[in-house]
Amino acid sequence: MSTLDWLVLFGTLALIVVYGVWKTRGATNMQGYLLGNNSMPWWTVCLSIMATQASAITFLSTPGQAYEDGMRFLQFYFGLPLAMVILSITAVPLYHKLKVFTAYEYLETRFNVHVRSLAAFFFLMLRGLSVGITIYAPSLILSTILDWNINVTTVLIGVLVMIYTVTGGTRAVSLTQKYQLTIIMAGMITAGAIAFYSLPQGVGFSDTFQLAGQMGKLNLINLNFDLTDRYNIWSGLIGGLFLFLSYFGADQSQVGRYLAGSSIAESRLGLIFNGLLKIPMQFIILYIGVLVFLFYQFHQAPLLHNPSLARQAQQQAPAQWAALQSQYDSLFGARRQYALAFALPENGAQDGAARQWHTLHAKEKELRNQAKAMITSMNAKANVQDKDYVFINFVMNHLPHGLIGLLLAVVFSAAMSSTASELNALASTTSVDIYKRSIRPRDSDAHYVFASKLFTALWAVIAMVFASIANQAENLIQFVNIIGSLFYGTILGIFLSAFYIPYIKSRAIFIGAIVGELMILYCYFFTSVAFLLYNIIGCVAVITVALLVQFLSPREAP
Amino acid sequence: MTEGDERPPVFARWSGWYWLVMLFLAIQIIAYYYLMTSFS
Repeated sequence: MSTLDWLVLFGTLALIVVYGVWKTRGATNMQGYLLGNNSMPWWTVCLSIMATQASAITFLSTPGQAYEDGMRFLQFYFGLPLAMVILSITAVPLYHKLKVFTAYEYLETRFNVHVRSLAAFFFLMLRGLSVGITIYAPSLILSTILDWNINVTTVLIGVLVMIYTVTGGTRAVSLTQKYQLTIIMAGMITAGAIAFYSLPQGVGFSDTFQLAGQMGKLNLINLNFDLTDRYNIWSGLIGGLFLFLSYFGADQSQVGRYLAGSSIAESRLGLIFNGLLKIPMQFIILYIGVLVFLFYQFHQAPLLHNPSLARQAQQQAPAQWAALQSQYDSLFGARRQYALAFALPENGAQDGAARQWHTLHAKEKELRNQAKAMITSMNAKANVQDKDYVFINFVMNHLPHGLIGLLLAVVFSAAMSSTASELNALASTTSVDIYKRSIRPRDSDAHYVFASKLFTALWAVIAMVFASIANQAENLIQFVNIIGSLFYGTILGIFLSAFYIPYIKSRAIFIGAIVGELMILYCYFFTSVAFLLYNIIGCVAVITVALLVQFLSPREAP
Repeated sequence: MTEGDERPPVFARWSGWYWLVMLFLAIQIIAYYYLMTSFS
């Protein structure tokens, strides 16, 4: 890291925070603070939605995912455009018509206050715990790469977000996200372009597809129907549809984004363009990972992409590590020649090259696995999965100065943009659905704005504390990673019943939601059902039980 | 307001944008399949 990198990094972050605070100062009522005065045009809504969904880990992990596993992860997003259409037809006009601050407020109109509070409670549980991880995951990677204490990166992200989210509310979140996403995409595409231009002369862009395909990275579509496989077209279309309906329709961190739209049409267009742009955006990010993979066919890749673990291994078992490193290095020259023959067929026979390349690639993988096993034998708790470090390690070692700072700003911006939406949503739900509704119902608007600011700051502190202790509790992290699936199914069941099944009334849905949630918890603690299926199980259980209860109590008033 | 009053009008406001989203999804899936089969 040079002085130029530090200047670019901190200059970018400071500009975003100052712009967010300055541009949105002076919100004095709830409409302004929590809904941005319903003033956002569709493109701001769209960018805000996209920036909320794409956390730092998206930009760190996704290229690494393509590097290791190819592009099949793309199928996970196929249900998203369908969810955007359904929500544009259903949720958007309804939320706008009722002029709600949160999605859960609608549930009181349709059912009663108990159902509203229950859904708000589920949301606060899942989002309140996961916002810590939104900060923790990039903090861990950045602290490893920059050799900083993890608490420094955690507090840096947390405090920067807190400053503009507390002062400017929803409008600050949306306006800053517009610029954050622009910086993120510009930085990512620049990194991809550098990987491409570092390939041997004569390798054109269309050749990269040829290479990627023959090296097994273009596994974009899997038509096999397999419930145990997370990435095939059917799990993407069906499972993804349920997941994204819950996420965009009933998770306040997304609902809050399109509620800020200036009209139904603007909110709808924001969602529609998210449906149009999301998959191409993921394709670009995954393909950047593929380009990094191709880059490492012609430049030596590190034995382990996590530099901290590699250093530890080198210090603790220098001879063993040096032997592995030497074997690994000796493979590179030959593999590079075969890759060149792949890329530039005029240099040699392609068929033989392909076979030889795959053999050497398999040997390399084996050596990397040996290195990982060696580290595990020295430290059983070490996380040797290094795909999250592939992209950032490439950035730190192969990008010119100035751009390294920009790419680090990308990671910080992505962490800040998703954290900001989550804090804003947690504060909205706490102040509107819990505090104003059940604790202090009659007070001035100024009081609720002050309370919302206080709740935003409080959630930011909770997130930072959680991120700091997460390091010591590996099980906690695993639990939080699936916590979305533990609650989304139930919340979706409640909302689908509210939207489409007028027969179901408040008491029935309340019982249905409790039973549905207990069923999901049972699946989590006592069965081996894949956690992505919890969304469907929970949703179906809530609706079925609610229908049954409603059927058994036909005399309830309409 | 009584329970059940507020539900969305299903397909009441169908728009050309929705066709566009679904058409684009279909085109993308076909294009990705073509890309995969052509280059492997």
